[in-house]
Amino acid sequence: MAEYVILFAGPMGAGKTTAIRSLSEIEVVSTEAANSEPGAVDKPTTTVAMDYGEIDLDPDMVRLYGIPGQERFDFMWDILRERAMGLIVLVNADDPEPERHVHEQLTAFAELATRGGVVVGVTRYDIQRTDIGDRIVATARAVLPDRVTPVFAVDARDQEQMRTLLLSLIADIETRHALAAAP
Amino acid sequence: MTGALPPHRDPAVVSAAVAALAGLAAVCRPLRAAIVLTDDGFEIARIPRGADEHRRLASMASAMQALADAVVRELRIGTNQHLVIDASEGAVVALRVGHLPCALVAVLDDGFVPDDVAEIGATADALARRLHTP
Repeated sequence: MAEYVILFAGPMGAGKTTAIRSLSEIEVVSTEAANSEPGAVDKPTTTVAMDYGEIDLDPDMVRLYGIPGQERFDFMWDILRERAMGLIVLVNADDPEPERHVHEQLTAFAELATRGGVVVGVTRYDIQRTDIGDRIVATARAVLPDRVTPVFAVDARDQEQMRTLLLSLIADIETRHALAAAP
Repeated sequence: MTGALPPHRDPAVVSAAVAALAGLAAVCRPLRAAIVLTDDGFEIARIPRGADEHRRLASMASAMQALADAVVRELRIGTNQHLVIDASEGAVVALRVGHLPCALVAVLDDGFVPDDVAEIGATADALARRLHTP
């Protein structure tokens, strides 16, 4: 049995809390506060410390941590990054600058992406811009040129889609560990 | 609070918070710094002004407060009254300002006494009353 600690990163409103709620088999521990800047992202609340959920992928246990999207909470990124083995970056396709967010998140977590696994999930893909996937793949390749970063279109509300994303990440982590251990 | 503006941009809230912190500084001798902040970590007012060492205190206090609330919720032990971090060379006290989406966090020098924590609570209560919430 293995235990995986997975981080969900991405800008505010990308769907991190929703994704963890879709996946978790326990009641999610959430730290939401009223959003004082609804003009920036139109949602009533925002995560200020972390979300926490768990999923049992028999025989493996996966611990899911969502981190706040705003940089003023980046001390939480530091705390949780040390324990993490994999990273799911979520971005909104209808965000004005999704590639910039992917670039920032992969740069901030480059060490984790290098030693563990990483996948990118693009939410609201059906609503906006069909070429965004290619541009995000190119952005990921520019930040992490030594590895392939899978990019998926996902609906954070859909448990099966999020489960596929998570299983892809775990396969990535296991493959990289196996290759690293090979003589 | 009018609700038309977020608390950290509402001049009436900022003015009341500045006055509350000045009052706290006058009665709480171990007080090193204090901030009134929004629940999501925006600074409304602080003393001393411009102290760069406390630049991240508002966002950290917001996260601490939310984590403390989550623990209280998980254990079903009522509501979070205040949070105290008692360190070897000082302390941090954080508590909510009435039912507003705001909190007050104070940094105290070593040697603080329970009366100091009570003064911080009284300041938060007075600020909540001034802003017309219970």
